[in-house]
Amino acid sequence: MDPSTSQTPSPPTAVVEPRFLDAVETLPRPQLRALQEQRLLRMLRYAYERSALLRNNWQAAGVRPDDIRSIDDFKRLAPFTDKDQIRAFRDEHDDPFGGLLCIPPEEISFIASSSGTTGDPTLFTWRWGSSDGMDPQCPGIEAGTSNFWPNTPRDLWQMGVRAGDYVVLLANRIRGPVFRVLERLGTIPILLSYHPDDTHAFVEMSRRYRPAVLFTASNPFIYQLELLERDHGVDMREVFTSYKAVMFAGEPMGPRNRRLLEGWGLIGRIYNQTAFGDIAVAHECREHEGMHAHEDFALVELVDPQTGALIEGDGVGELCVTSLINDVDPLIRYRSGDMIRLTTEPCACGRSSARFWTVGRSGDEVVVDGRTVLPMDVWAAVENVDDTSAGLFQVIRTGRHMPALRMRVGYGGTPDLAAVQAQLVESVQRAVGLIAEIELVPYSELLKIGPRNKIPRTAKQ
Amino acid sequence: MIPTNHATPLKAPAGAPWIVGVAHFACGTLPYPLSRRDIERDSAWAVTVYERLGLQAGQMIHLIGDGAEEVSWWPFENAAMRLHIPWIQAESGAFDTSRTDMVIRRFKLQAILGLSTPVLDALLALGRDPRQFFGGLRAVVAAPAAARKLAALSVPAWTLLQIGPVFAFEPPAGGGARYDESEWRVDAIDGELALSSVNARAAPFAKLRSGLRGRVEIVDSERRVFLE
Repeated sequence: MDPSTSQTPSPPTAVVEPRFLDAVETLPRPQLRALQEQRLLRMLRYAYERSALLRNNWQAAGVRPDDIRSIDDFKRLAPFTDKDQIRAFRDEHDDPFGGLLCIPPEEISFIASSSGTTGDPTLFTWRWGSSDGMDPQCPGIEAGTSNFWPNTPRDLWQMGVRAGDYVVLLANRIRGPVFRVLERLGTIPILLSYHPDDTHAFVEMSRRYRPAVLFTASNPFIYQLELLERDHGVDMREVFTSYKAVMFAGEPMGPRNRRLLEGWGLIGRIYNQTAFGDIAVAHECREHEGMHAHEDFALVELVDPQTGALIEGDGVGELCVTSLINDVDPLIRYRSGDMIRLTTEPCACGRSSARFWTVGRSGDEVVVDGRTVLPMDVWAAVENVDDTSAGLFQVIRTGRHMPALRMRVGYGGTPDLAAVQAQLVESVQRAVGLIAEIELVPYSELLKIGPRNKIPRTAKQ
Repeated sequence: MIPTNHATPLKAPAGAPWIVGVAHFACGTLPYPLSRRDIERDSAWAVTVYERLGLQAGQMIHLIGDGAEEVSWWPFENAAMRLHIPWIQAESGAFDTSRTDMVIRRFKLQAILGLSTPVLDALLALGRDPRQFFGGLRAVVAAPAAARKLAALSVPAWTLLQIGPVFAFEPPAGGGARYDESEWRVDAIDGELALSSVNARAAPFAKLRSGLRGRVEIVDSERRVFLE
């Protein structure tokens, strides 16, 4: 029997408290751990038999699934996996799935992928629940769970989204047919793209259908809306009247853009979304106190990025995840490269899952004169200069240690470039205490290099 | 089973709006709602497209398109699932060329649908030999300018016409592009292709001008579209 039903205070037939989509969201942590352990042990046996990469790594470490009888055993014995290992396996074995695939290829429905900013994209493979595609399900290893963006319906529910609501979906197709996730909630997706031409359509569709959610805004998209407001007099407060939630994704939201959205009447209705270690995405709840890591889907650990040592308890470290339900291409003890701050303190929303805040990517930091700088550290400094207020910039990173802080910063209009440069140098120095070498380029040049919803925040040249 | 507030799966009435996209016409961008019934009919026609392309179960394909075009691609995704044809997707902008490049290099692909001109140009700029790069594929279905460019490079390609939200497919040998005549009617009005819906759809269209110059001819008892 599934511990989530056998040990929850409520019997399986009980009505879930209306604020939560699934009863497991409020499972007391000891019972949540029992559920994790049961799923973990089953997953290890399942994946070891099927995943060539996992078997390869575990055999090299001299570990077998039978050696692991608890989460503590797992933390003590299981070897880590990371993106470099997956890529190496892929290249050595001419296996596009990097040894992760656990199902026969003929059972694959579709393959999505990551943005690919650090090399060939990471693949996310899915098997669909019904052969005609009309049933919006994607079964996982656990009965009753969907393996395709599994926690997103829960998080949308938490934001107040209900069946019949319209949801504007600004999504790249590379991440898979996300609209199918929205349909699981009975919402009606409105499909638009991040293309600047669709910004007008967003305004029109918002007025026509009065959607409940924007899924998801990005820095370049907000910049386009700001231009519509400034140049065409569009009343953004009126456009956003119906929105219960504006989700923000792709990269951190700078303080200026947050002020801008709040000025459009969205105070308390802005929800950050971030990657959850390449196994899902994570969102804030209505308390806006960190991203919820739905731990019935994933075991979460913190790792010291330099030593690889496990960090016990809450704190700051590299996010390491293990999928507990993915039967297609599960990641086991996967070091994500994302630096996070983690807490297991109870959230005021009532959920029992851990929460985290993304600090940056371990691969994004540069060290100059002994000072560590992440893109987030200079974000507000760029936004605070009027002609670069869209916050479109890159940190040049040829290696972790750099002789100087070098940045490429986008500007709008036709400003006095020497003056803009001087303002930026001063603003960045105030923020991080370093005199930056700054290359100025028009916004349009920077927007060409990304997937329209974001730009790479570090560049090798 | 974990208790849930979820209505799984929620079934909307067959004719009610199930999803809303946008359709681009000469008069501007219009909302394009689709019902579940529309999607099921469109998916059934998409199955016939894959059959014409000679695709079979287990043969991987690559779909290229923008998020806003999902309403047009959705039936082709469903049809692929119905036929057990796995797909991998990419965006149609030049910025995403490396993904298509990776897909062609790493997978034993059988077909590409939706190859855009910017992606083709970027692949050529990367130095890919088109005859070698696309030569192993059963079918390449490309935007009109990309299909012409491939033909000039001795790579036979299907042409993908987009008339508003509707796809029409012309084989490499020519002879006009087929579309789903059970759902749509394409007319040439003053030399411009115009789209009307035939069946009761969530978004009825009546002779909406597409902005594309072309003509319509009857070939083998079918209406075929010729771009000019």
